[in-house]
Amino acid sequence: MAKPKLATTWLTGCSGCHISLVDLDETLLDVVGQVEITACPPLTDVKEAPEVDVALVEGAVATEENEEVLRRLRERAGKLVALGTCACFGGIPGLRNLHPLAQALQRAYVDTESTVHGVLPCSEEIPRLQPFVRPIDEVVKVDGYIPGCPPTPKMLAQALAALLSGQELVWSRRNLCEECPREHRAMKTTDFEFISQNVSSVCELDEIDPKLCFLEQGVPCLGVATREGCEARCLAGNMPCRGCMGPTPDAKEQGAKWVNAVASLLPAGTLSFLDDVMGLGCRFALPASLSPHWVGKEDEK
Amino acid sequence: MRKVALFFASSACRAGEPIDVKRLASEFEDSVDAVRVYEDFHDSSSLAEMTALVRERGISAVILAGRSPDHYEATLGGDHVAEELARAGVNPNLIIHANLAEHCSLPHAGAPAGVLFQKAKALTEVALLDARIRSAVEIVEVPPRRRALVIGSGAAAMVAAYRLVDLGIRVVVASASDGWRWSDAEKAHLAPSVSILEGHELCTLAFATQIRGVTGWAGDYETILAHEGATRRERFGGIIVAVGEDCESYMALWPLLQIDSTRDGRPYSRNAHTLSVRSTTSGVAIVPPPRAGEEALPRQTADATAAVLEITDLLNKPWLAHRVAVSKVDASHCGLCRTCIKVCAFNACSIDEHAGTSKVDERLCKACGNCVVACPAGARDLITGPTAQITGAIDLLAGVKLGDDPRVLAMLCAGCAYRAADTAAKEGHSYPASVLPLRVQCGGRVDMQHVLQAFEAGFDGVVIGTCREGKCHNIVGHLYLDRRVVLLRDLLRERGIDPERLQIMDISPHEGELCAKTLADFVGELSGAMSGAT
Repeated sequence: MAKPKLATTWLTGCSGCHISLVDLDETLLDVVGQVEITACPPLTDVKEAPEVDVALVEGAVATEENEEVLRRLRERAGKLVALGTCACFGGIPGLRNLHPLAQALQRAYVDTESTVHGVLPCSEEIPRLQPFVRPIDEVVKVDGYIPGCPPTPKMLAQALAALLSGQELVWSRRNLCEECPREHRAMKTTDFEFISQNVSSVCELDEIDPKLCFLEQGVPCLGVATREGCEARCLAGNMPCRGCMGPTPDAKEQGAKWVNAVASLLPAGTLSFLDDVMGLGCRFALPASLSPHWVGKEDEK
Repeated sequence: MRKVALFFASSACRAGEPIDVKRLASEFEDSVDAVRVYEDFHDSSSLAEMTALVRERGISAVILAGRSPDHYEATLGGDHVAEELARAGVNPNLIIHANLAEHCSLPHAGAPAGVLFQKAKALTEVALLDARIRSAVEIVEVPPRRRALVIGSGAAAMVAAYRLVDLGIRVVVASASDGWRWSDAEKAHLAPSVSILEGHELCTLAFATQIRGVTGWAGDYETILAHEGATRRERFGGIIVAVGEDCESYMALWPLLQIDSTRDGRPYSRNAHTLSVRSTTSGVAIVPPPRAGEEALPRQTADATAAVLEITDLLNKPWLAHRVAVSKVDASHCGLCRTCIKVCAFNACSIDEHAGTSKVDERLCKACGNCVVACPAGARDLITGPTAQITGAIDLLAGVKLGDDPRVLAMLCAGCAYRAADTAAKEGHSYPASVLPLRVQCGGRVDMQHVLQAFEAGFDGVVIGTCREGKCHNIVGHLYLDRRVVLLRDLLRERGIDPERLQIMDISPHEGELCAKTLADFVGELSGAMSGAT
């Protein structure tokens, strides 16, 4: 029997998801033995993949070229899977949606402090940016999602095993607290004094207890409003969750959903120091949210 | 598909500016299983026809397009219609109101007939959507405890207690004061009854006693009574609050019983004309203090007697029906983050360690929906006001074009703001018809995603109507709404949505004029901002 054919591509992303594929280490040898990799940007120099059984797409759709590459790949792929958070939800490149395109370009190419005599790129050969960044499922039909920034090698190995044996990819449904190893103390009971009297904020903490829930210590953590699946490795390493796995299944907007929860969890002092709710709550999934981009006037930003 | 009947009350459509109810009814003929227009729902002939129709056609959801739901609940005998429909087989959660009087006909003096018609149609469509989406609510039948708690130490408390023991109901009179507090004149009149009461086997006098906690529901309230440092738990079927003019007592009782009061500190009656002793909390009767110029004792005696009637009416029933308003927690979603435990003001949420999921104690739950909003995993829903109904209604209302005024979505909490809007209409105050109301259970039920959705769907402004500070019927709903909105404003601003387009209106049920003025001013401000921008 012929080996199933696999192609990968990257759109607007950082190639981190492909690096994560390489991080499969010796498992990668098993994968290579089971599939025929026809096109894979870091490995091959194939501009256009032939017909394949499974295509993995990293990155969001931000340019005209991205859209064309994606559409052509869709036509040739049996199953097309979004690889990583940019492809699933728009990811970090999607934060550009908060600015009108002209201003984003002006800032990036002209106004940045390190730029001298900057000019806007105007070559015909450079693909033009689209007004807003979109997740790939707004352009083509997507058969499965592997979120994460990047997805862990373990998630990739499981997803590949499922795809190669013809199974559907299953989204996890719970929030990250399910996997988080940290303990709850204050959150075991209803206690309103906690939120009103305890005014500590992260800048007043001498140290962060590595075993206790971040929210209870007044440290903003996105874990409550983030899908499980990454095994909470950041949290085990004493880093609060930034939400890279994207919103929980029923949430339409990760930032607003996070606000719904933390407004009643974080101490008042922390809330008053939160000066970038957008950057905290919508860092990874803005283009896939309810209100995915700037809607104000061009000159108001 | 579920069979839905749509009943219109033409009297409600004539309450203020007339709405062509026949034409309105004809618009819905194809979308429901039965449409009827009656003068009013409670005439015996209309009611008989409605219930017969429900039985014959196997109707499972009924829309009452007439007055405000509050109008029916807060009028003597007004809930009879719903009771009869329930008896005919309609689940109480599937009796849905479209408020065509207080939200459409009454408060928009001078609005063009076409606009009012469109608005009435939209409100009916929202009710229809609700009738299709909601699920039946589970009913728990609780036999009431034949014991009553009387709070107070004045003449009213004494009369209430005397009447109750006389009717064979066990009574505890609890008060923070050391003994009876009344004038010599009152004492002279009441001396015989006091001596009977004090020796009565059914009566316990608990002076110098503080009430520390009240949980449960009408027919079965569990209280914590504290006396000289010791506490004891006692359960009562009903509670009578007879603290007279003692405003501080009302304030102290608020976290326990959530009885509304007016600006001058008087308890707020469910209906000042026909139900002056019924409070806004089920199973709790009030004896309002006498007004200036009224002779105190006769008035207090009469009201105390009425309050006793109100409570014994409940306690004499074989059972009381309670709705289980919050859905079961979906274990496949619950990640055990314990957010629900932290947000619940009534300690109704806990973790079922065995099942590995959160759970809700329906006896403690007041169905405010705060945990539904806060739950980051979407593991639960409010059966009496499901999320799909709110999101569906927002999209539906966003599509309604009503004149050129800026369009405003008004999410009004059932506890205060919705009643304030009713009061505004009943007192004859006006605001623009482009304010589209949506009833939500509590300010804490307003999901920030819904606000974003409203702006995305095309609303020019959003008003969230909640209780006044410290007067939230769910204790913390108002507080959490405020905190959420502070954070949400950043999410709006960053997207280019002016945060001023979102306003919180905190208001009490009696503040009708202020409600109308706030809504009208907001539409005016939006109008100014929009014309200034173009």
